[in-house]
Amino acid sequence: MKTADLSWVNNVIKEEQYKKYMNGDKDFINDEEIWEKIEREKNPDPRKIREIVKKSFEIQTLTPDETAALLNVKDPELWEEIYAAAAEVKKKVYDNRIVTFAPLYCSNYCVNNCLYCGFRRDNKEEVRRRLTLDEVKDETKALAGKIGHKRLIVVYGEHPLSDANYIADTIRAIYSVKVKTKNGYGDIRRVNVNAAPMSVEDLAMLKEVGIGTYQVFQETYHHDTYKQVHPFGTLKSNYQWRAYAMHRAFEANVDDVAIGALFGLYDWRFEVMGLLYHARELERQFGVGPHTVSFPRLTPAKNAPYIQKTQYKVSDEDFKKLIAVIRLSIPYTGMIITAREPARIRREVLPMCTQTDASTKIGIGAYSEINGSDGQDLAKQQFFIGDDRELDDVVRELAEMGYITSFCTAGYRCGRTGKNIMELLKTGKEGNFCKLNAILTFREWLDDFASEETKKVGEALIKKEMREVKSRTPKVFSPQVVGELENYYERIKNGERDLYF
Amino acid sequence: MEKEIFTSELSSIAKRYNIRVWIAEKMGRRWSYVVGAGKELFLPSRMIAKIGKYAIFVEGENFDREMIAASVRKLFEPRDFQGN
Ligand code: SF4
Repeated sequence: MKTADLSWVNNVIKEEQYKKYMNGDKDFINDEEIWEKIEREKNPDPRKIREIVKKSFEIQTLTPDETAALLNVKDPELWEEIYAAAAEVKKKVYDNRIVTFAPLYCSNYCVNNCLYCGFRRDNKEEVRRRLTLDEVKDETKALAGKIGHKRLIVVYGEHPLSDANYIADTIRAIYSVKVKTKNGYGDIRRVNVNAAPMSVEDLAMLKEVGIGTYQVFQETYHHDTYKQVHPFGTLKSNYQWRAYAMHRAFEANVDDVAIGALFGLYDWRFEVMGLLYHARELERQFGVGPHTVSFPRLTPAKNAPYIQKTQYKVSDEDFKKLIAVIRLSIPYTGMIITAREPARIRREVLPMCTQTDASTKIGIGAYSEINGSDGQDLAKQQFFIGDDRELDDVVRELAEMGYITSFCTAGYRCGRTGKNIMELLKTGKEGNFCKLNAILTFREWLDDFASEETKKVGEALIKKEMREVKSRTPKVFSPQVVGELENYYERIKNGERDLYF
Repeated sequence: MEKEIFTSELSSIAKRYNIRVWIAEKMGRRWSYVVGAGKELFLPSRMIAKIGKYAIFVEGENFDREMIAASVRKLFEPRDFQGN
């Protein structure tokens, strides 16, 4: 590593910013305790499982014992009940909408050497790129103007070239783009960030420029495995600096934080427990849990041989189970199923999830084909993707399945964020906003971007959604709400954009 | 901002006008929730006034923008917390 990079690395971690949350040398994950709970809850009584499920219906976070019991269910019929309940809970909190987004990879320089990742610094075959701000704008134009995305998750490796200043600049660049579309204009209204753990000061800077959700995955909550896959001496080898990243984000007043684990590094049941402990820790300290939880499965990456070695690869069956248990354990949280997974798996687990990506490209500059059409070269990216379908195809399929694709970012237009949205989620009220805003943003997207075939399916779905809103009047929605919805709907059809509840 | 004081004052304003009212802070192109009160009505929110980097948002039917903005603005005025 260059001397300048080394001196940057040495100044990133601020021990005082995480040690104050620890209990001596203990963080909020106790490996032995987690295993004890999983062992103790072996063979749970089905009546107990049904009681636990009832608690999830009340949108209450489960206790570790309760989650451990769910993880130990063996009976396939009981699992079917659990899947159905998980889908019901999702519907209760978020209605039948699925939010879509796209990842935007800005830089693949990285000082770390994670054994499972294509960006690891020892992967000399990786072509390193960092987008210029003009290139970031070009990517945004393609995403917002051609595909029709409204929210992004912007991804950066950990490197002085992609430090907090660069991240802030890219967020500004993305928000500055406004592109003419068929019937209106396209822009990115919410920039979520997936980046390395940062200091409170750096996070405060990102807050100033309008960061959306701040996402850091712990990768694995198991301390020994963490040590093994993040080589000693690398920045990422500090478990606690990463584990307390969200504490610092809340200290910096970032509204929404997202956690996740990379499934396949260690036993999936342990990781689910880790996510639950993390969520409970955030609730305890800040009164707000994770806005979303991600659960990517380890997929092959070029020159990252760990996948061949791991004994913890997660089967499709277990993958569905872990999603259901997370859904029931942290019932209010958003859950993201990404294009890492093939279409058939996405279809299967979608009823329990809230967000998905489409038209996904994870090469640097791949949307605007900065490097020609090989920007999506699978050998030059962080991992291999499993579903490369276009947004139009995914939207149509979702509509056929009865799900409305939502491009809603209303919370960020009027400050319905953080504690406020958490309360609405926990009381099952946010789903009502979801329903109204899904209709409006879906209309926008159909008019600006949909193929004729998708438009036809989408229009039928909108009619059904409108009928449903009316059927909830006056119990849930007042006649005035319906009036406002119809008024906004007509205005959007006439070319107005960004109207919301 | 003293959140507790704002919450209780905003609660009385929300009750008086039968609205939901909240204050949000501008962050780049977006707004971030700070404090608020009142029952959720699922109506579109209206920004009724800006005070520096903050804005007042209201949800409600036929509300009097001026009156509500004036009431909330008062909360931003420096005051004496000794009870005088
Ligand atoms: S996982 Fe992240 S930190 Fe690790 S090598 Fe890849 S990009 Fe770098």
